[in-house]
Amino acid sequence: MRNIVAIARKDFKTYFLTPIGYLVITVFVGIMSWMFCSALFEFLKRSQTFMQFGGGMAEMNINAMVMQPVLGNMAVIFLFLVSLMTMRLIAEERKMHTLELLLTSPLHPAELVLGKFLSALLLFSMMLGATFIYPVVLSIFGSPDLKQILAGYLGVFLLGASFLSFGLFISALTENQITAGALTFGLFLFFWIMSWIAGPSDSIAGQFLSYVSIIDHLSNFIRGLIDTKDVIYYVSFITFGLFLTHQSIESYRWR
Amino acid sequence: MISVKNLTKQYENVRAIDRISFDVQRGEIVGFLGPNGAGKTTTMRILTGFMPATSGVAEVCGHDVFEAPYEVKKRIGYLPEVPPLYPEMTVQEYLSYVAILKAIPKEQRSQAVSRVIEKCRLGDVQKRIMGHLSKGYQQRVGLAQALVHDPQVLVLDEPTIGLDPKQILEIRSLIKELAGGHTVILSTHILPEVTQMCQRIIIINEGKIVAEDTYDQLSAQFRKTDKVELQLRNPQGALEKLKSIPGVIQVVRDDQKQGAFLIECHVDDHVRDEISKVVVQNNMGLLEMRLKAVSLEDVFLKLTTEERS
Repeated sequence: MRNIVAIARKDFKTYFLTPIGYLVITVFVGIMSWMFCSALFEFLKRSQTFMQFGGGMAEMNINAMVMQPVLGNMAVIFLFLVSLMTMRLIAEERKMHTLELLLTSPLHPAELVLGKFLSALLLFSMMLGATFIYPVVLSIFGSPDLKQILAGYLGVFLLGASFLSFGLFISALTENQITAGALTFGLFLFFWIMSWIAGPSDSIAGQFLSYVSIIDHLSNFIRGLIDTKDVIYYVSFITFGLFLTHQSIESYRWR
Repeated sequence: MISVKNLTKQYENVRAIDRISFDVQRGEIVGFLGPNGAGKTTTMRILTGFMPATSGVAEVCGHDVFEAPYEVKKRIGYLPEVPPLYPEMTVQEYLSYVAILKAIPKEQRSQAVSRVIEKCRLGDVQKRIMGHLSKGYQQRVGLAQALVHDPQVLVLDEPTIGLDPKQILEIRSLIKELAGGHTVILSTHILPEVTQMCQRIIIINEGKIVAEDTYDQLSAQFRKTDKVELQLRNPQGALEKLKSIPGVIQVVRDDQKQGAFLIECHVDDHVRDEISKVVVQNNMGLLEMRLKAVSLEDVFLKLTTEERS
């Protein structure tokens, strides 16, 4: 436990000793705020129209029109940033030979994996936390369903954690962080596109793709529905990613 | 302190080390000598628990490296060939981080860090970022990292590689200071380094131990003939007279120096006695007479090339 905390703290600090930490937070919060504002203005414009000409007000839902698309886009924007956050985590340790220090210290490789994962998760939580300002702003103007929004945030958090655990695994495969970054980026792009094909199909293959597709499991959360099936899906995805990371570090020693 | 028996490491199609066995006693400084690719680093990586051996047993402080890696890693300090530094951290941050990883109890950590900072003379740079330090300082930080938990055994892989002569001297004297308190294994391919720092030498070639002894013993073993350097003021006719001394095998004139000769003779003090007598009796004007010791280079080259032929 002591080692996990030490490693997590050190790597979290490293994000801010290099530009990466500032970069991902700025890009993420900047783009998300832009999206939130444009969704909010669109909502205001429409509600003004309805007020002038009457009717249709019942269909106006601030959750459905503002928060849901914003949370959905959050997942996609994060998908583009994950590779920046995970690519150096283990690849760099190999390149700088510091993995030798870690693996000849009295700690278990699992502690190393968890510490690394936590550092990235912490940064992601910060990015996510900064966007909590949106529901707060909405609460000032109106009365959004906060429970639904929180469920959506839980979904985005779980999805993000799944991305991070897989990114960590890819970082353990190579000692070149650019390779790790490119591979992570490509793989997650494919994960995203997979749901496009899966979307409209009703066939068994389509259902399978939709089950496997990591982003499709988010839709229930965003609609405010916490389904155990989806939670289990994400938790097993995270566990599997961390397990593979652990195995690849072990195999590096046996080679 | 360290006991290795029949250790073998097989990579995919290369056998890096082949059934090597050796022991190291408490407080000893042992030099691991061998050409590049001989298996030094592999042996050290197995001893430190970085990688497992294919077969054989390695024990450090009575604990099996493979069965009880945690116990071994607590007692061993390791400086890899490339010092494992994080360029964006300061020296002090880094050493504090390593102190946690090496399982030093919380209340002793800051004391342990300031102890190694003092020991490795890092006081001036402790607040600086490691990426900006000179190679010599980086190597000292590497050594500090290996020492922070005051390990019983120190494993140093090529501790002076890539340093300038002044830095080499500093690191050497630092390592010599550690003798007694720690058991040290260090690898190198710089031969004088071993003779200066190590009590015992293990010569390894192509994954096998080819010799293991003190420097004196090793050089005596390979001293089949003595070589005497001689410089005379009046070298006229000296060549024939020297050649006729019983016990002298060969006399060669040294063209580099005026009146200098290299005499190869049997290992016997009387021969040198005779040489000096002849020189003095013939009034050759003795300027210099010196027994040339067998250098470790000779031993090393002999051992590592004989194997192949």
